[in-house]
Amino acid sequence: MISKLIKILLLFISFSVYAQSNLFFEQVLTEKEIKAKGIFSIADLLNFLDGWSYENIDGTFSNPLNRFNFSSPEKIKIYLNDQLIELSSLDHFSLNLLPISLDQIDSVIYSSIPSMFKGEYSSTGVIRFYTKKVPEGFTIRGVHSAVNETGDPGPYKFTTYETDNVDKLNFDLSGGIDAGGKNWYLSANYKSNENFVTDPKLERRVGRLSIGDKKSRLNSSSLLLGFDYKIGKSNFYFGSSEYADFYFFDPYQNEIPSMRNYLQSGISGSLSFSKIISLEYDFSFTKNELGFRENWSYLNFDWKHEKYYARLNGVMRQNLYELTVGLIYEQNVPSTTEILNINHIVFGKFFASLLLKPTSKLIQNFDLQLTKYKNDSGIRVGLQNLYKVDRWNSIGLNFSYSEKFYRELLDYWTWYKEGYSSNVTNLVTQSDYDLGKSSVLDFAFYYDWNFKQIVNLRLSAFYSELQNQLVELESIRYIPEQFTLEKVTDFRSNEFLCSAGVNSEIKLKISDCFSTKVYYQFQTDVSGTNLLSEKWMRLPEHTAALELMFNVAESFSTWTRFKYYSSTTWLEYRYVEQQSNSFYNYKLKEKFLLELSLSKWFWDRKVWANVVFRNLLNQEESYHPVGADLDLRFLFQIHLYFNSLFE
Amino acid sequence: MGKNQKILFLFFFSSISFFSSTDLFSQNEPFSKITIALSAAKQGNSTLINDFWENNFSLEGNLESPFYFGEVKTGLIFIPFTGNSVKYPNFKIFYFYLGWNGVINFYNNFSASFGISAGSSFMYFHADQIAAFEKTESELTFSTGAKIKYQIAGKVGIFSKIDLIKIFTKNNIDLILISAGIDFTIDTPKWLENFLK
Repeated sequence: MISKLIKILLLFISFSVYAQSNLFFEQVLTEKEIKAKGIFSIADLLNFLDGWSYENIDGTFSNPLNRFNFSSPEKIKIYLNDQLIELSSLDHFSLNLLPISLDQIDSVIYSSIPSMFKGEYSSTGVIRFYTKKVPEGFTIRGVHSAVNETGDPGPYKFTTYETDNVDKLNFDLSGGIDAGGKNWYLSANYKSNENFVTDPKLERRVGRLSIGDKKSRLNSSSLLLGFDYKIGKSNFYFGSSEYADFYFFDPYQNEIPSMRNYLQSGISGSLSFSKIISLEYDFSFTKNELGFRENWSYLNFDWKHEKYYARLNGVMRQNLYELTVGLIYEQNVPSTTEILNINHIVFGKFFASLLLKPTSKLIQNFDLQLTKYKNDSGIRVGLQNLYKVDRWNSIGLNFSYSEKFYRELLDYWTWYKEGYSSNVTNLVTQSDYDLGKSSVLDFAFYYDWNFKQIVNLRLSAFYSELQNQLVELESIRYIPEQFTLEKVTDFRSNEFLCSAGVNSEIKLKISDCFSTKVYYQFQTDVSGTNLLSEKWMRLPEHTAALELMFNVAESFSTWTRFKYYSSTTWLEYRYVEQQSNSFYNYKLKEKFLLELSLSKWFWDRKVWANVVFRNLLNQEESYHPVGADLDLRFLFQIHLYFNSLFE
Repeated sequence: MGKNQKILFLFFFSSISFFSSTDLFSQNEPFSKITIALSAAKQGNSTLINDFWENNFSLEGNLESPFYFGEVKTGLIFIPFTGNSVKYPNFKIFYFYLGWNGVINFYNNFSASFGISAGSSFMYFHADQIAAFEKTESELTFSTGAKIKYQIAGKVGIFSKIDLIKIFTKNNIDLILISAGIDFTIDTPKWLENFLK
């Protein structure tokens, strides 16, 4: 009787099935690929995801950019084992705050087009991390990696050829203990990271405010705990990171020493009441803080953002369809000594997905999400079709339309509007602005040809429209007496831009041990307002890559990538170049990047070692006009796995 | 494209071609043997570094073992430099490397090999006027070279080789070392062979 009541209740509140909404345009990075490519940290993963370009200021942590967020601070959505992870505070975002280590990861699934996942709609993209299944018994893990940049003066520092010291760039150390039983697992992890400011541009700015050494330090810990029981499963997550950082605060155009704290705890899982109906949930509390780190000007963000998040959805699965219906409640509570106009920002969301399989050749998916903020609401809809023409050929279509409240970004300007202002002195805005609501229309198409697991060809094309965008009109100047930058911000609303592009990707598996991939992307703006068209130039028009993977033996592999980025232009820095005597450049040159990774397992796969060379051609490699210029770099990492010790 | 980039291109594509043409090289059971080698070398070129410092000799010790094709090797090269004036303090380079050799066996116990290596050069400066933390530095280093070897007896061989070493300081240090040495081959202990496999 009780179970019947629960079923009726479920049907009432949900009416649905959960559909893997974005199954058509997802890409996967497996543990094997992550290792082969010599990816050395969670944040480093971003450099290997097709479909995004990057901005990178500190030389270590990249911010992914694509056709949807090139002009806004919108961040990608992050999931860990299907639980939403919130890593942003104001505009600060670093994927490395995610307190897990690479040795825990089984796979990464990502999408760089507008899509809905677990009821959350993201126009920029989604990255989902899945941890490895913890083996039964007791497991000890450890990772160490170090990145060295070339270009030290060496003995020439005693001569007229003296140059600045460059030194070590990055140093990571992590360790974990896992325990598993038949129906449960536990995974505890600690990681630390040090980054060294070595680039002359950064050194000059960071040195102006920082006291002590010019190092960023990260300490993270996490606990994952999971139970499988007769009618479902539950996953507990606790994560904490403390990051003493030099945060490049865009409105200020300088690194501000800050203490970044991240804390999240939550539970997610599912309850299956029958083979047809189940209930899924995700409840979490997150605290993101930007606090004080000692500096000469006593600059302090004095900012804490707490988020209470709840998702509940029902799923109905049948052979021909899957239906999901659910609700999301999100409360954002700021905390600062300054007086704000509001106590919190609350969003309520209703979502539904319907996955249909009317024939063996056709899969269709419909997504709907309604977001409510105060008395206004925004709608997001998605339609995806996959048609398998025959054994070798298939076609996919993706259409989406989404409306977004600017406030959903929860960035600096959102809170500034509500009365928040850090004590940063030369922050200037010249106009009032209405945060409002913007919309994105996106249409994507692909054609796949697979031939006997040997050749995989994918051709795709897209067309996007950004409408009603609120965009910063930035005016940046260089102050030579202080070696600093200053920015005046104005705002323009109702900006729009239409863009289009094509992608092609060919994967060839030439033999069991040799495979290759060729990738090319072209993207361009078609029409739009001047301001957004100017900002569009931040994205490379052409991106191409050639990858070669050679598994010499079961325990030894080599991976090589040749990547090309066309030049990019950051027009807001156009006067800075002249004012700084070209110390800063607003045009970033095209890049030809060559990378080589060599990996070897030892001791019956208990020890894994990896040597990586990045930018082997020693090209000028920078991803932001004020960002670090990375030279040839050398990376070494070692992983230890002692699995199932007391099984 | 600069000179450095050309060298790197050659380095890279030669390594790719080596990896792709396994039939050229002698095949052994991976890690079944270890060859221990000692050699002494003399700098064979004069570059920017020699405007300030002189090198009279260098020493190398290395281990080589059969790989899935060719040989894998690891070693240490010690290169001391003496300043031409008191302004330029003496310093030592310890180049620790990992590398790979392609080996071609000839008649009469002769063999030739050519290889590539990468590693770090640790530099120690004998200077009182600088702070302790400035007395050491390390830098990425690539090297490539060729070797001719004659197997005198079953396990003992003599060899002569030439190595081109590039240390990636801001102004690169390019060294050519010409050396001669002796090596000794042993069977790898089983526990070590299992570890390496």
